[in-house]
Amino acid sequence: MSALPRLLAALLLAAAPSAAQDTAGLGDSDAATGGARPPQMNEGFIGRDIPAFDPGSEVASFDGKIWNINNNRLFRARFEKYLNAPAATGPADVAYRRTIDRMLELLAPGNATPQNIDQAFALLPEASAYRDDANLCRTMSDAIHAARTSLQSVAKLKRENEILEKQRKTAEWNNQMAARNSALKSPAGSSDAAIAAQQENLKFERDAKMANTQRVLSDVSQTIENNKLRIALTELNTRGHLQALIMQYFATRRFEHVLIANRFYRAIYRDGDNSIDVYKRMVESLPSNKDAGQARLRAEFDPQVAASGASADGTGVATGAGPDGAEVAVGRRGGTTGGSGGAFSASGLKLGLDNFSVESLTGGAAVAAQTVSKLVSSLSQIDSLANEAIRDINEGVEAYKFLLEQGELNSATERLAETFALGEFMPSVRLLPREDKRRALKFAQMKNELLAALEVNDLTRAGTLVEELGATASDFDASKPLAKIETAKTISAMHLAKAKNAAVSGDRTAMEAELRAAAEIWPRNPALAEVGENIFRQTDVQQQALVELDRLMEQGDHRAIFKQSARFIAASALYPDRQEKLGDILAQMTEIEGALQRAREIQQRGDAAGAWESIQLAADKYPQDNEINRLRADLASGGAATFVQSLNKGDDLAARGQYGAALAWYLDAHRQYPPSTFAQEKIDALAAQILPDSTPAAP
Amino acid sequence: MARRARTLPKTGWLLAGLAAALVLIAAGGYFLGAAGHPYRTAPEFPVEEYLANSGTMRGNTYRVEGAVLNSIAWSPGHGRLISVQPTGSDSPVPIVLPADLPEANVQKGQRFHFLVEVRENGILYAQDLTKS
Repeated sequence: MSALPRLLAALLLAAAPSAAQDTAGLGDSDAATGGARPPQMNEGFIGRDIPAFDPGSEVASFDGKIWNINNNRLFRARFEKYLNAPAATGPADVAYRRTIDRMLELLAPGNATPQNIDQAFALLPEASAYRDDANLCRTMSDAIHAARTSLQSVAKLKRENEILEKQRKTAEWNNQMAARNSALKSPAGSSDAAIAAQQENLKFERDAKMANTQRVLSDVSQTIENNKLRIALTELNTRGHLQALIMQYFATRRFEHVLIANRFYRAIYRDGDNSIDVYKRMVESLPSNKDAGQARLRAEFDPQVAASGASADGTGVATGAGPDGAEVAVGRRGGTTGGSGGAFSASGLKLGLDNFSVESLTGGAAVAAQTVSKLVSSLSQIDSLANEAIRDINEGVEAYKFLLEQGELNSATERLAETFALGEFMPSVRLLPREDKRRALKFAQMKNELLAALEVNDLTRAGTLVEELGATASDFDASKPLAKIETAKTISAMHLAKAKNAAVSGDRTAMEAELRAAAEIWPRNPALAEVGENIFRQTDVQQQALVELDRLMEQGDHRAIFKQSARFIAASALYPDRQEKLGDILAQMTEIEGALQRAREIQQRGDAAGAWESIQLAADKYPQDNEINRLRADLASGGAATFVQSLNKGDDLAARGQYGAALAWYLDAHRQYPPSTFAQEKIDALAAQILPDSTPAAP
Repeated sequence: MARRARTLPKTGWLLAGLAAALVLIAAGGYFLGAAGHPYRTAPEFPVEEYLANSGTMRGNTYRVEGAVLNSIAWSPGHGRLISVQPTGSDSPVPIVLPADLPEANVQKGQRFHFLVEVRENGILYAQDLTKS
């Protein structure tokens, strides 16, 4: 597709503001600015008023907004509708085509005789009877009829002016004669006063004779000037109306209608003036509130004329306002031979700005019209653009057929989509067989489904579609969608990993944030449910562990806590109070385990009394520990039985105040196990009690 | 015939002398034994009974013979506390040697005869001691 039709396609998309998408980051603008500002902010060398198309990214930009012409919801819907439609080969379609072709033939350069023009004009109502025409030919017929009628009016006014010119010359002659026959004679008196009085009387007499002829001359001159203004206004009216109609056909891609209307225009206005200045003034005056949505162009030209008086030097300027439409003021230099002049204002060029719907395709017609008016300056240009568009559309259809034969469905579908965007109403597009379109339809549907899947981040489905598209079309470039899919999957996996880490570290806020981020990137990620379930199961396990920890703490079963220390440490990570208590308990248990270990080692060496003393020390500190008590009991009833018995008897007697006997038992224990610290301490204690102020003797 | 008469009286004297010697030896031994147990008027210390319940022995005086095992404590004002291994018992018993007791060198391993009194709290206080 050449640049020009792409430009036209962009114009059409500009007329659909609802389809606009702010897709910052696309196109070259981002690269040019390094991403510092969105591309729509770039003025470019021709500014933002002129639409631009980036063939690299297939993105059109206009008025600060950008569109991907192939990735557009509205366009996709219309394209699919077209692909499903049968070929326009019905009797009515054929008849309509024949009528349009006949008109083009009759109006072709060289054939546009008055007879052929009349014959073509007669075919317009016939063409408008067909549904495909959408009554465009009827509108054209009305406009041409109005133009012809206005030309008759102009001719009549010109004839009137010729007659009025003769009348004015007669009035001027009469006026001259009246002035000549009333020459001021020399007064007869001699005194100055008498002479002055006589002169005054003669002047009054002459003015009275000329008053009638001057009035007639003024009226005729005024009528002539008014007729001239009406002629100009009528021409302005009909020319503007037809030009607007042609531009509207062009903006709506009715290129054949452009050609027909243009040829009628040339046939009607044979003065060779093809400029569209009138149209430009019209559309430039259109108020378009871009924030409030676009306006629909209503091609009505209903001028309100206001004539006003002339200035003394023959130059007049006047203004006037129409009731509804945009205001246009036209000044008219009105100098005449009589020194009088006229001025008028023409207003109320109601070129239709009905802001009826943002969703409407035609809602942006005003913008499109203004844009077109900036691009072209004559109807000849419009004509050549229409011809170029028709040629490009026909080539696009041929390219589609060829690519379809090659099995390159991706390129074929893209070419058809581009051709359809430009030449939706052209015969070559409409006549394409449904069977040929169905293949593109299936591919387009899959691509649209892929776009939809990517839009909602259904990466699983998108991956499947990419594979299917690759199998369907050999030229399908899967790199872009695959890159997005794989990137999204990777990022989602990274978020899931972070969520796991946050869950392990007890950072619930971070965990939820990461899970949410992962879900946003890939909502249907299978791992998302799995990880989420694991995390929440882990959370449940954590709660159970905390309940059990509290219960064991309450029971004082520190050994049970110690045996499941890893589980309770993880569970209590978020609870500082529990964590502190758990730390104390584990420190105690570590000490107890150390004592048990030492006692067992001493026991293994055959030193039962020493083992008992070791474990007894721990038992004194931790009397509730079952393991200590069990080992202590084993030793007390085993190898250290007599030793322990001596100590116990000593304790018993000491408790009863029999210190002497108690000391004897302690001495007996010491005899059995001389390294005994227990026995030694007890001996020392009783010795101090028996002998106050004594000092222990050296052993 | 005469020879027979002189022989008989000699044998009788010899037998009588032998018997008398045996009696003397026995008596000597008796008196010598009494000299090894200087506090023979006091009963021997009942170790097992003491270890089981010394409360009933309060105020009694006993004699104890045994070897000194260890010196446990010493106080200038109150004396010395030693442990003694009584003869015939494995269980050592503590005995307080009061400060007013005549000075005697009590060393580990020496054997003594102790005259002890069971006082308050069942503590054995030596009233006298003799090296055996």
